[in-house]
Amino acid sequence: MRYSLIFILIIAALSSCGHPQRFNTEEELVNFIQENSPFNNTKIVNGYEFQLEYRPSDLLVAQHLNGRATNDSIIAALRKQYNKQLYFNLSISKHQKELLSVVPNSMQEFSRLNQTLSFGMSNKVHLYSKQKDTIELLDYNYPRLYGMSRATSMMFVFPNDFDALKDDYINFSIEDLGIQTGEIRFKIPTSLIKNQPTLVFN
Amino acid sequence: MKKLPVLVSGIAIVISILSVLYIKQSSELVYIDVSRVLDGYTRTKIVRAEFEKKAELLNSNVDSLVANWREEIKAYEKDRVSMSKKELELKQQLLSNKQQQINSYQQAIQKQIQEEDQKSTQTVLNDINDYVKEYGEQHGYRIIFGASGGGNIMFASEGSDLTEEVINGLNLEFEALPE
Repeated sequence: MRYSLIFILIIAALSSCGHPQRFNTEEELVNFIQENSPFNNTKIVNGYEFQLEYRPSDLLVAQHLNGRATNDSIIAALRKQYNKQLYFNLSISKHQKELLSVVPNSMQEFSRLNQTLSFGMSNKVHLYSKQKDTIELLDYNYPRLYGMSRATSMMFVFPNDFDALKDDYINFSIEDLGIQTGEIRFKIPTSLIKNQPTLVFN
Repeated sequence: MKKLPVLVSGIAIVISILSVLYIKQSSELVYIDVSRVLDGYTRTKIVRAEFEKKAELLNSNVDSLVANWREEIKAYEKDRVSMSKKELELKQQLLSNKQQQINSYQQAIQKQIQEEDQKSTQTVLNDINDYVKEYGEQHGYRIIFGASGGGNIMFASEGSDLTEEVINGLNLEFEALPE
């Protein structure tokens, strides 16, 4: 009897491994991401703080629904739509301020950095597999907050390329933005994407 | 039923041996020679070569501007005898303005070269820092010292030197990265 109980516990423990975690509210999921390092990584180079966060697609579904009541078929359709992409939030700051508030020393430098952030990030940010396969950037969004935020934040969207996810990790790299930080690279475990946490919608 | 205590004792012994090994490894004092890692890392050579090429191009732009200005000075020295006072003043003003412009350009180029140098060095250092951090975590080291040849580590036994292992690991990882 005792052995069968241990056996059941081992089976239960093993079966729980590899299953995505489920959260009841968006806040719980956001907190979980912010507190867990594979989802949320920070690097500090030359006083600049780079924070990369992987956003599970269910957060985008929740954002799309915006609290509206819905049914299973709509959720399934939205999940299918948002699962086609990978979403990353990148924040860069110095002394808890936006780059445009601390980096430029002249109008020229301000204009150059503003141009890079607004239109040139597709040439600066790269996602690629361990086997040198580059995943092409689909889009990115840089909302200007005119110094009201504590960091320059951008969202990057890449296609969910299953071939590139065969490796144990993918690389997210940011070229130097003219702030002498060199190239910054984050290793993202692919298990994070394959077993991303989900939300309970109903 | 009698086998259970034997099984439990066996597991306990295995766990004890593993813990002793783990504690021994994590408390071990190890170091890497940073300058040797920088020299041995393949990316350092690539980044260095790219930087030198860029710096050469930028310097050659300045050199050609300076050479051009010197030619103008020579021509001015040659022709000044035949020039009127007004022409002389105008030419001197023009040459002086050009010299100032070249000086500013030269300063800007020097700044750009310095920035490019810092950028490329930092890229390599980022790679090394990331790798050493990951290596330390994977191997359970509590601390990895970085020796720079300046006397901060006076003696260490051969087994404490992780430099070669780190160089090999870094290069293996870099070979899998796009250039």
